[in-house]
Amino acid sequence: MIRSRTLLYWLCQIAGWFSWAVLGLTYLLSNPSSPTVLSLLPAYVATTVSAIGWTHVYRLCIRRRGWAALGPGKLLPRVLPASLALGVVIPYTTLPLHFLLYPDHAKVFGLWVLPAVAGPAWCALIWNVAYFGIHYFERWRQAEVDKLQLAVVAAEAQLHGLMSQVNPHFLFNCLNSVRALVVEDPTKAQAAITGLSELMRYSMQASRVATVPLETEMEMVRTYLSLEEVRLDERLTSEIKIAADTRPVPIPTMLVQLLVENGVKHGIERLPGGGTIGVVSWLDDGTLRVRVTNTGQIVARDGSTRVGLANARERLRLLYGERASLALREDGRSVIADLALPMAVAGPAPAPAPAVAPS
Amino acid sequence: MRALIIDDERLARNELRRLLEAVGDVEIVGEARNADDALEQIGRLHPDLLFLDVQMPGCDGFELLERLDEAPRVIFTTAFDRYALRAFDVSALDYLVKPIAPTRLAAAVAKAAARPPAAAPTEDTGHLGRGQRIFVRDGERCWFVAVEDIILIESEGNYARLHFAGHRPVLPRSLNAIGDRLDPALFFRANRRQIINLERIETLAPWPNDGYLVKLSGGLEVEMSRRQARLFHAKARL
Repeated sequence: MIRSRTLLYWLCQIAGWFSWAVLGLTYLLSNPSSPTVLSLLPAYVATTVSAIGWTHVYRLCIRRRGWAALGPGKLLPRVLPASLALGVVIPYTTLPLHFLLYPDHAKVFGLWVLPAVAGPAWCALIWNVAYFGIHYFERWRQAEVDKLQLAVVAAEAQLHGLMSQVNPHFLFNCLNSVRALVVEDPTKAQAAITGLSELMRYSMQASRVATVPLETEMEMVRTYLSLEEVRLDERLTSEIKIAADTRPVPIPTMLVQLLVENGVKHGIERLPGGGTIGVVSWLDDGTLRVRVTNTGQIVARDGSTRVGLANARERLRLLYGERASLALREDGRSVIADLALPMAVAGPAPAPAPAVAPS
Repeated sequence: MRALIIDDERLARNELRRLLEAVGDVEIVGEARNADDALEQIGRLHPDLLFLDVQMPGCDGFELLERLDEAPRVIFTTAFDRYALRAFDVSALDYLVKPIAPTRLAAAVAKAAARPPAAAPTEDTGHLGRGQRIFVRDGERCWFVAVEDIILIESEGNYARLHFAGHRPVLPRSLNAIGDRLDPALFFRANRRQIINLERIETLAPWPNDGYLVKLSGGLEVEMSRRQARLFHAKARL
């Protein structure tokens, strides 16, 4: 990248100034009284070399002073005098050579001061326009790229936000049940409000905490299931078997919760007779395995499961690379979600110890 | 009004019952916890008004309505369902979000009470006629279409396609099943595949098959078979 830019700079320098010299020569030669090409050539080559040299020095100054980062308002008062200065130094550096080659010119020197300076000054101005124009264009393009990248990052953040939210269908149904309980069974209503608060707090913290011990997550899963049991009555039963040695193993926050919630939403809730949610965990040769089962079948027409699962898999990939897996299958009467995680988190450093307190 | 509450959650049913006590003007004749239960109770109790939960196990609120010959007045209840709510924005249906605000409930009941009840003849003949409504949906759009607004019903295999007001949704019932239920004073079978609304006939032109080309409102055209044309004459003479 840097090499190609340097090459481009030198190509522009040489091509630009030589074409300027060729144009000047052609113009002079069109005059019938002009001298021969050979007699003029040394002076033109000298001036061209002087121009390339001086503009290169000028470029070093630009870079040292960081003019490319200036806005047009600040750039203009600097570029105009600089162009004029270049217009003076470029031809006058070669003046001794001129006098040596064409002694006649020395006599009428005063007459062509103005055109001699004006020509290179204009060219220096064009040089400036080209130089800063390219820089401005590149900066604009970079800004566009940055904007796109930001949009992608924002969309990702939103996605993660969505994933860790409490499902609104559950939330409002739960609030509705609680309102009924307030009259029917105030003690139960109080317990439900506490449970719901804990669940909400946990899910709000989930976006800040990458992993939690399985134990902490299961505490929330139990709270969630107890709330769903209030709502679904005898239609929901749950069986949870967490092996003691799996309790401290870190897992991605809200991941088991997502699987259990999907099981209720797409499984139990759709069955008039209800069903059972099961969560089992065990260690298998350095791998944590969690299995979530629910009565029912995989419902193909439902798009939301796919999005939730795809998000969960993406999170696993970010945290563990290829070492974790999440598979969904059905065995005729139940849907089974199998989660396999390495004992230690790889990739990005694990988040500091979660502030989520088990109830 | 005699109302039936249909919701799979016991607490949700209790809460609605409690809220309705305060509203008055509504007598709760039954509670159903799923679609089959609801269908049985609707057939037996003939409620004027349904409080219907959109999300139910097995068969949702919309499927339940599709299975009814005639749609009673309905107030939908839902906890959160963007798709279900979107279906309503064109129709004059009412829905309540749970937990239900008492003022919203009172307004919805008042609105349902203001809607004219279905015409009487159904009670005797069992026919679907003027003033009655059928629930239909097409993808995510839903309608309670008044029977007299249906211009044409066409057979499509085991289903029937309704034409009304520029829409043409499909009803999951056969043309024969619907035809038997329609009021013969309003609808006439033009041929084996089509039933037309007599009030929506614009012109009749003789047709090579000794029948007619019937032009209906909405630019629809139907051929009336010779056999049916004869029946049509007889009917017209009456």
